Order: sequence, then C-alpha cells, then structure tokens
Amino acid sequence: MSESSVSFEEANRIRLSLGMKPLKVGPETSSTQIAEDNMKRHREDEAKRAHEDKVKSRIAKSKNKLELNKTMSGKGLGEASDDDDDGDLYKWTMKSRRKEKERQTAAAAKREKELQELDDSYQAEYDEDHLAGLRVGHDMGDFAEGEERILTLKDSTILENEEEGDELINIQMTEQQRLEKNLENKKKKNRPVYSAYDDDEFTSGKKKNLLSQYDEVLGTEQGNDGFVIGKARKVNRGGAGSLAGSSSGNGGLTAKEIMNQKLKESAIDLTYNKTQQAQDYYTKDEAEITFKKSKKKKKSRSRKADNWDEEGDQEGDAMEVERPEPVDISELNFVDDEDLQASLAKARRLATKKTIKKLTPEQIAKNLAESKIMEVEEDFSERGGLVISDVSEFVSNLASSSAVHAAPARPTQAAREDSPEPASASSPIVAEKAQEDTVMEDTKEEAEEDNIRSRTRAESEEAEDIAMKESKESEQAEHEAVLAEEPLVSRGLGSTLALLKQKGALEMGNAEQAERSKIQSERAKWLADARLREARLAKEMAQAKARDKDKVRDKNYSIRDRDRDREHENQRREQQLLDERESRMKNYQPDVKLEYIDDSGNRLNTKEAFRQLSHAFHGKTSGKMKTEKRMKKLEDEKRLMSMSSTDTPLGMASAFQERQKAAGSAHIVLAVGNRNAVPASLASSTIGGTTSTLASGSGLGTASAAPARSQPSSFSAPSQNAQATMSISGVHAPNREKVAFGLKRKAEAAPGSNPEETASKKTHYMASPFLRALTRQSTTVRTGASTATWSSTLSNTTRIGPVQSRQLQVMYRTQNVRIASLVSHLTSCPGTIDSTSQLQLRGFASRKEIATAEASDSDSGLDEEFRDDNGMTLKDREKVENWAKGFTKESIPKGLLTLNFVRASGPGGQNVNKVNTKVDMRFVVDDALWLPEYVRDRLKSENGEYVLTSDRKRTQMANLDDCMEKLHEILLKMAELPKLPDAETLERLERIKKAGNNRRKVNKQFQSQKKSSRRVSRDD
Amino acid sequence: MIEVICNDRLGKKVRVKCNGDDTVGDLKKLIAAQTGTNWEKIILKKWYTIYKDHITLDDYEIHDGMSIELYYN
Repeated sequence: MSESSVSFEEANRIRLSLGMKPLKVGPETSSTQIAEDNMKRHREDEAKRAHEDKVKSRIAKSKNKLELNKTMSGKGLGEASDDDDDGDLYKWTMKSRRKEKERQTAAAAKREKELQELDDSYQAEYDEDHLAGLRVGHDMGDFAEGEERILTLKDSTILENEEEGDELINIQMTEQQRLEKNLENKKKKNRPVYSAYDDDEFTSGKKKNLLSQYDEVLGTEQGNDGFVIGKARKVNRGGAGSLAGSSSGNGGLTAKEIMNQKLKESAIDLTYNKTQQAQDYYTKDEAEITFKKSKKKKKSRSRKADNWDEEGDQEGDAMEVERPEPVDISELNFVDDEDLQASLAKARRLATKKTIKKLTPEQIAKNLAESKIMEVEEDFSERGGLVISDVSEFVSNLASSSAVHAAPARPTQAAREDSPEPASASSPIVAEKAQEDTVMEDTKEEAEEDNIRSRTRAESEEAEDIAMKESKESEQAEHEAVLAEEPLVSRGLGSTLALLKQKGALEMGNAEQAERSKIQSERAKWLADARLREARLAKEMAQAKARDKDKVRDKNYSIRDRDRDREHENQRREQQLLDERESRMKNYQPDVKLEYIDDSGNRLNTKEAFRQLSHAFHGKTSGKMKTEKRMKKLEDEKRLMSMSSTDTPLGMASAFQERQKAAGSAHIVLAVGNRNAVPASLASSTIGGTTSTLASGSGLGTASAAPARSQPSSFSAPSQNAQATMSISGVHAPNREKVAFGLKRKAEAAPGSNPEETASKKTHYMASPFLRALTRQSTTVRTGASTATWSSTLSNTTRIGPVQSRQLQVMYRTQNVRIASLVSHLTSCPGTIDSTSQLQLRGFASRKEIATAEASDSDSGLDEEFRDDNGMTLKDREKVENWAKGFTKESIPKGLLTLNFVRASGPGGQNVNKVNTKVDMRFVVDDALWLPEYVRDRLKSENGEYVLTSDRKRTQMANLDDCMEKLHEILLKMAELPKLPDAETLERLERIKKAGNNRRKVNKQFQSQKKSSRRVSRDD
Repeated sequence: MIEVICNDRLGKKVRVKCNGDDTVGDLKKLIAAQTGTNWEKIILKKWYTIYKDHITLDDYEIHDGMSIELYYN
C-alpha cells in the first residue's frame, strides 16, 4: 500500500482552491506544547533555586566554622601548661588537689544543707497528732498502767496494708497472746466436732464454715479487735503518754451514746416464738402487739352498714320461712350491690316524697287530665288499628279493589279474628268498627266486646253473601263472555276497566296477583304498625326524660347516683328498643318485584332486560334486522291486544248476526253437502262463503255451531265437523286420514249394493260436504263411471279451496282417483277453484299422475309406488320430512352418543390448560336407529363412526351445547330431500323418452321392413 | 501544520497536511482533493467514534502523525 502525499505548496494550493486559509508554517504550537514549555520552565526555575540554596547553606557552614574557630582562639591544653606552670608537676598536682578538696567540701556542704532541710521539715511535722487514726493490734486492757511498750508497724503484705491501714503491735505481746491461745486450743481439743442439733446456725445467725472447728486454731488474732489511737483527741493524754483511750473505755456519756441507749430501750425484739399458735382471742396486750390497720373514719357509712346488718338479721329470720321471690333478671344484672341498692332506694323514696310534697292542687288536676288523655291515647293505640282518615280509607279501598276476585277470601279471614282488636286493615268495614270502638271504649268494655263479636259475625256473613253474589256474577259473565258485547270506553271509568279486564290487558283474579296484593296490604299494615310503635316509643322517651329532669332537681339525689340511674335507664331503653324492633320484624315481608321497562314502555322479561343492560354496557345494539323483527313482534302483540275479542278481524261474527237478521231465523246454515238437502233460498247465497269461514278459525267453530244445533239438518256430528275444519293446520293429519280411510273401508264394504245408497247412508260419518261428495264420486269411479261425470258433479257441489285440495290429495292416495284429469276439468270451469289450490293440485297431480301413468299400461300400476332418485317412496320421503320437522336439538338422545371431554386449546385463558373443555362426540352411524335410514345413509363415513368436536367455547357445557347445535344442523342438512322434479321437466323427460321410443320404433320398423323386403324376394 | 494519515485499508492511504484548527469537514475536503472521492461520502472514524464535520481537529485531539480510519457511505 503506497502512501500518497502532496507537497506543502500543492497542499496550500488545494486549500486555497477550497477557500481555506493557508497552512501554518512551522510546528504546531498547541496548548499542550505551551503547557509542556511551562513545565519545563518551572523545572528549570526549581533547579536553579535548589542550587542557590545549596550554595547559601555552604556559605553559612563555612561562616559557622569561622566563628567556632574564633572561640577556640587562646591557649590550648598543651599551650597552657606550657604557659602557667612552666613544667612544674608538683605545682600542678598541688593545685589540682586543692581544687578537688574545694569541690568536695562544697558538695558536702550542699548535701548537709539538703539533709538538714529535710530533717527540719520532718521534725517540725511529726508529733503525736500524726499518730491519730493508727490502729493498735492489742486490747486496751493488755497495757498495764504506767507500763512502757514499744509498738512497731505490723508485718503485713501491701494488699493487707491497703485494706486495713497501718497497724501497730508489740511483738512480745503478740507472742504471748499466741502462746495463750494455743494452750487454750489444746484444752478444747476433746470437744466433739459434730453436734446433732444443727441449729446453732439459726440460733447464732452465723453460717458455719467448712471444718469450722479448726478455724479458731488457725486464726489467732480472731476476737482481738484492738483500738484506734486518737479517736477522741481530748482524752489522749489520760494514760501513758502517747496512748489515747478508746471511746468505749471512757466513762463519760456522749450524746451519741445517750441516743444509743435510748434506741436500745425502745427496740422491739423481732424474733418471736415461732411455735406459738395463732389464737382467736388475744388479751389486750397481745392484741396491741399485733399490727393494726388504722381505721378509716366513715361515720355515716358505718352507721348505715350497721343498720343494714340489723335489717339483714331480721330478713335472715324471715328468709328461713318464706321462699325468695323470683327476682327480675335484668334488675339483678344491674344492681347486685346491696349497699348501693339500699342507698338508691332511699334516694328514690326521698325523690318521691319531694315530688308529692311539691304538688299543688292545680298540678294534681293537670296531672289527672294528662293521665286521662294518655289513657285515651294508649287505648287508642292499643286498639292496634290504623288511624283512619279519608285518605287512608281511600287507599285501603284501592288496595282491596285491585284484587276484586281475591276479595271473597278476605272477609272470612277478617271474621276469623275474634279478638276485639282487629289488627287487619284489609277490610274497611272492620277498620270502621275499630274506630267506633275507640269512641265508645271508656264506658262498658265487656258488653262492647260481645257486641263486636256478634257484629263481626254478621259482617262476615254479609261479606260471604257479597262474595257469593260476586262469584255468581262472574259466572254469569263467563256465560255471556262468548258473544258478549264489548263495553264502551266512553261510558266511564268502570266500563273502561271492564273492557280492559275482558281483553286481558288488566289481569286480575289471578292467584299470583291476589297473593301479591295480599302481601302488599300486609306490608301497608306493617308499616302503619311500625309508625305507631315509633310514635309510642318517642312519647315514652319524652316522659322518661321529664322524669329524669324531676329527679335532677332533687337535692339528695347525688350526681353519681344520677349517672348510674341514667345509664341503667339508657340500657333498659336500648333493650326495649331492640325487643321492639325484633318483634316488629317478626311479620315483616318485603315486597320485592323487579320490573324492567324499555324506552317505549314495554315490560321486559329477564332475558330481554339482560340484553338491554348488556347493550347499554357494551354500547352496541343488535342489528337492523333483529330490531325490526322485534319491533314487528311487539306490533303484532299490540294489534292482538287491540283486536276485538268478540269478533274475527274480518268481522265474521257480526256478518253472521246480520245474516240471521236478514233471514229472520235463529240459525244459520254453514255448509250443505248435498244440493238437494239445502233449501232453495239458502243454497245459492250461503255456500260460497261458509266453507271459507269454516277455514277461518277454530274458535269461531264453536260459536257458530251453537245456533246451528237447534236446526235438524244433515249436521249430525258437529264436533266431527270442527275436527275436520281444524285439520287445516296440519296438526290433526292422522285424524283426517283416519276419516278418509274409514270412508274407503265403508265404500268397499258394500261393493254390490247401490253406491248412491251407501253413500247417503254413511253421510253422517263425513266431515264436510266436500268429502262426502268426493267419496260418493270415488265409488262411482270404482263402479265404472267416468271421471268427467264426477268431477262435474264435484265442481257443482262446491268450490275447491286449499282444504279441499289437500283432501283430494289424500283421496288420491287412498282411492287412486286420477286427479290430473279432474284438475284439468276443474280449471276449465272458472270460479270453482282458487289459484293457490289449483297450483297445489297441479303440482301434486303432475307428480302422481306421471308415476301412475307409467304404470297404467300394466294393470298393476295402482299398487306400484312412485320412487324418486334415491329410490325412496313418497311415504319414506314424508317420514323423513316429518322427522326433520319434529327434530330439535333437545330431541337428540344424548345417552346414545359417546361423549369424551379432552383438554385442548381454545378460549379460556390459563384455565384452559387445566380443564377438559373440548368435547369429542361420536356415534356409530349404523347403530343410530333414532335417525331415519335416509339420513343414516348420507352420514355414513369410512369407519362407520361419526365424530364431532368442539372447543370453541370456554366451558365444557357450552362446548357440549355447541356440539349438539352442530349435530342438529348437520342432521337437518342431511335430512334435506332433493327436490322432486316439477311437472315441466317431467313432461320434457317424458317427451324425450317418448321421442326416443318412437325413434327406436321407427328405426326398428324401418329395419324390419328392410329385412322383410329382402326376405320377400326370397319368399316369392 | 500537522500531518494526519488516513487509511481505508482497501488500498487508499493518504497523508494530509492540515492545520489543527481545521474542522473535520475541511479535512474531508482535503482528503477528497487528494483521493478524488466525493467529500460528502467520506466518514472519518477512530474505533467507533465517527468524527463530526463541524468540530475542529484540535478539539478531537488529533495530532501530528495520527492515523484516522477512512470509511465511505
């Protein structure tokens, strides 16, 4: 790698071209370089200074030396000798000796002087005063009078000396003492070591040491206390000069000693005889010795206590005879102190006395009046009833009228309460009675009570009567209800209510409703009771407070007593309050009913309410379709409500009535099967409408049947008629078929007889005239009459609607009527068949007729059945269809399915890892006999087992549900049948087939002709 | 005047004469003049420190004879 570089000039040229200043000539002088320079300079400076210092110090040294030399000037050792003595050794020695002597004397003098000073100082200080405080190791008595003894410091260790201080002893004397002691010990030697009584420890108070018998032998100085010199300085010189007497040795009594003596005299011996027995009685002296508690001075108390004792004695006597009365427990709780009770009793007595004393006549009068009022009030409240005002009366009426039909039960209930306090407020009559009672109360109660009883009984009877009447009325109403007129709203509130009642908008008489109203009235009663109780309580409280105030005014009633009383009172009151509340709550029945109402004021059921809540919570509502659907449903309901209950929407009932009016007859003919049976006047007008009215509603059937009953006509079995009409809904399909089959059998029963006759004979079995006609005609078919003739009769008889078309279909199945020709005939004469049934019949006919047409060539075609692409007969198809119709999620037999619950992925957070939420459902298809064969065939898989799983939901149950739903869906899909080909395609098919056949035929003919033509030549 | 050596280790190694108070941008221009690359494509680096254009060589403590890594973008 080559390193490219440019020259200085080149670089400067480039810089110039770039517009930069030229390069600096010379080395770069950066700040670091400056710093380095500075450093260098600094170092140089330092070096210079150091050098200077060195030089300076050297100069100073030399100067010093110079000065030293200067002091050393003069004679040297050698020089001096040379100068002074001139070499004379003798002189020098003499001189040096003299000098020596001088020096010695000076030192001695100095020493002497020092010692002298020391001596002086000691001598001056140490006298007998200094002996004070020194201990002497001998007894005072050991020193004989006038005897001189030399005392020396006792030999002792430093530690001992520290402890005891200096002690003076006389060596001779100590020796002598030791000798004596030893002698004594020898004497004692024979003393026994062990004493059986181990109590000298207790008696002497000294604890025995281990091997204490030797202690004395060793411790020679024990018991030798000695004395201290100079304790009392005054008597120091009494004895042999230097010794001073001890304090105890002195005859004179000091103040301290006097004190000591006194104390000793007054001292009490604390050691007393332990063996002395405690006694019940002591003499006066003995008693005094014992400790006495100082008595408290409680004059009044003690006196009271005495009194109490006396009373207690008296009562005690009494108590032996009579049993103690049962005491109130609450009182026991609060006052268990007899003393306190007594004082309280006294206070109370005083209080009452005071109050009685203070009463003036006016006050008495006032009190009386008050008490009377209170009595009245109490009576009133004890009556337990309500305070009855106009408003309450109205309200109670409202409550009771809200359940008119439930009412009959209530008066009897009220009557059952025989007690003079009718607590029930349900019946206003009873409440009124209560009021009357309160007014007349104070006069004669007993008579009144009887009165009330009789009256309540009478009332209850009355109530029952009313109830009976009401029930009768309601029965009548029921009888009328069928064709009753709707009450007009404009007539008034009553009629409006009646209308609402009739229409079911105002539901009443309902058991639930009655129950509710009952509960409500009870609740009202309970509330009233509660209010009354509260008022009473408040009054009592006020009274109690007033009493308290009176008590406070009493002077003898101390504050403490008052507090205690108040507390007691409060507790009592609280207890009372609690009791009250409890009793109140005994028959408390909360009336809770949750009702949800949406924006448009419709009442919601729980599901709907939840949906609304949920929508509000999530801020999301259901989609347009759903809301529209719901709105439609609501509208339908509303329309249903507003519909007249006595008439059909088309007003048929009124039409009938009008018809009756016009005809002037009490009856109306709905349909006539046989033309001959119909009166000529009616035949033309009625028939057209009636058949269709029959189809319009089942409810009407009974209504219209009622007037028809009276007429002796061909309607011999009206109930059967109804059945036939109801068959439109398809519910009674089997019934209908039964009828049809019945007809067939009847028709076959008499093949030989005149068909006309049999048909007319059996008419009472027929459901409708149309059927009758059909049957008759079918018999004619069998007997050989042409289709055209019976169909023409048919079309003459009645108009064909949807009902009839279905009947025709049935007819086809049972009697093999060839419908196609019939239909084509029918359609040719307009007005006899409506468009929908025409279509229906045509479709049916095309399906059947083609199937039968094929078979018609062979005579057995009647028995052979139609099969679709899957090889299913129509019956099979119908079976599948029916199954699918009735098949719901709930009808899946869960017991026949194999269910497994597996842990698997899916929603549910962490929980899903520990719970088997996934549902695995399987069943063997071939064994699932609850499925139609068609479905089974379609479901069949390779291993013959059908498996369904679900893990979409969070819980097992939800997944199971999901699975069931899936299965339901799948099965329904599987049960779907392929559409049958419609008439046109069939026709086309037929045409093609026919064309094919024709072609084949033609071809065949052509071939045969060809061949025959060849043969002809040979033949000929 | 200092001399810095710029090496891209791909075959270009230039010795550039410049002043200490020149900015890195100026240096780049000088390098560009010598090597023939666009100066805006030049990145000057020392280890992971990319020298910024507006800061002088003195401030980066680039001295005489120092090597600077030359990169391109």
